[in-house]
Amino acid sequence: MFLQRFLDLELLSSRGDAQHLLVQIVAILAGFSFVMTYWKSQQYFFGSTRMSAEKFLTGTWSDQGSFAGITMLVTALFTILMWDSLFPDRRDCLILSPLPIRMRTLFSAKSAAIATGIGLSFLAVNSFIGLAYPFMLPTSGSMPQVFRALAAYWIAMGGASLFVFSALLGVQGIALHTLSHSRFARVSSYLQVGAFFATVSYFFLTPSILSPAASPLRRIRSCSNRFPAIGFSACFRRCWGTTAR
Amino acid sequence: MLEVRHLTKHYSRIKALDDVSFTAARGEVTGYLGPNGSGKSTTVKMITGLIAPSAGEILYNGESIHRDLISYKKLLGYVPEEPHLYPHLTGQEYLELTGDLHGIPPDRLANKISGFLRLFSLSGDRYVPLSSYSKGMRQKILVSAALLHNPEIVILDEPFSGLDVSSAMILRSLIQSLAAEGKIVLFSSHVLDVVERVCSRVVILHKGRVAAYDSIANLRGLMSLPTLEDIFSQLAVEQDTSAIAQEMIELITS
Repeated sequence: MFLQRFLDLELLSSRGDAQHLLVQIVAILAGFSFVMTYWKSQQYFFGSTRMSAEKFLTGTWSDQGSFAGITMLVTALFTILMWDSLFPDRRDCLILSPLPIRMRTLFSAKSAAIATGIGLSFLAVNSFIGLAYPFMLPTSGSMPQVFRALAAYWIAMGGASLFVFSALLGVQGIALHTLSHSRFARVSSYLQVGAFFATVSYFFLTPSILSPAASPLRRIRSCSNRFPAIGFSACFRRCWGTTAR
Repeated sequence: MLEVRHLTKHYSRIKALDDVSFTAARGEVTGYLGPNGSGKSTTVKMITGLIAPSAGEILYNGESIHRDLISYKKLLGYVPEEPHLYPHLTGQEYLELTGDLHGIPPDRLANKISGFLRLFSLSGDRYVPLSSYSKGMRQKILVSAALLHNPEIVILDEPFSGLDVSSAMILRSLIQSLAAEGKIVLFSSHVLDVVERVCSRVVILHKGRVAAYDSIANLRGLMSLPTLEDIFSQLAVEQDTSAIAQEMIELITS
């Protein structure tokens, strides 16, 4: 019920519209993931045959940053879409309070719905690339290394998704606690719009890790504090065991 | 028996309710009347456990309802003044949700839902989202949701709002039948002729305080007034209604 409420738009009128919309969004994200996988597999296949493994590996930094950036962007957009339903609101209280339901049950249901919504978008956008990418990397053909890269990918992307979701939840939580109900109601839509533009801007303004002026490691040290996507690409390489390159 | 003892509620510095006490007995319909802002809805929200009182207590069978609020809510059927519903759910889904939360077994719940929807002439709209329902249709869903689990205590806050004539007549008979079944019925309304017909006792609130609490027959005798409307006007209406109406007519025609 809470999951459907995230997509409780004025446009939805007939039965099952919310589920259809959710399936369509998930399908679009999975389709995007598929196209990206195809494109990257072509690039990596030809790239790995033209240059040394060392040089090629350094060149993959920016892709890993992009994957983290895209995951963060999708999670942020989904969170912003769910903005008004992230916490139990007045309507939830008025409808559910007279019913024999404990507050913790209500919060658990809400949390499960949020986890499902965010989880679906996260899985969809990483579905193809997350499974195929570790196999595209030069890992000397050893299966443990491939599995380590697979685990590293999902850990880093999961972290990136959780980070941006927590940040947006924190923004709303702080606003809810510091502002009165009426003031929050006035400010909430501005916060939502602000969060949207901040997220989209951040995605496009995140610099490339590869720079002729500095090595990737120096670049990460200087940028990861300001651009979390770069930090999560470093997290991927650390989990994978290739930090030094 | 539902007992309200010295109930007081403050909203910041405003006293919405001041030392309200009354009892709603089994097998009786207790009317709860008062002008806008007199504290009716505040009392109802406290009795349903939506808000906590600033002072005083609400007892059910001699025990505070706050001792085990969840068990108390299982016995409660509440029709709110405003039709707060999830508009994305269909009528059927909303009733399933409330029935499920009340722990009604699925097969019994399905029968009950079909029955309520049929009796309220909503069977054809059972799979339509509540956002497309009219106010009266939503009210029928709220009444059904409140009664699905056979509650011991029925609290009705303006239940006739938006209902057509036949549905209102059905509901009026239903309220009396619920009391005849031995349930505690608290009925808050502005429709005084309906209150007069269905209630055995009334509580009249004025500015957050109890202005009268007795049976309608006793109040008529005590105040030597023929109708509940006259009693209500005497106790809770401060304005000269005819003069205000005349002034409005002058304003309209000027």
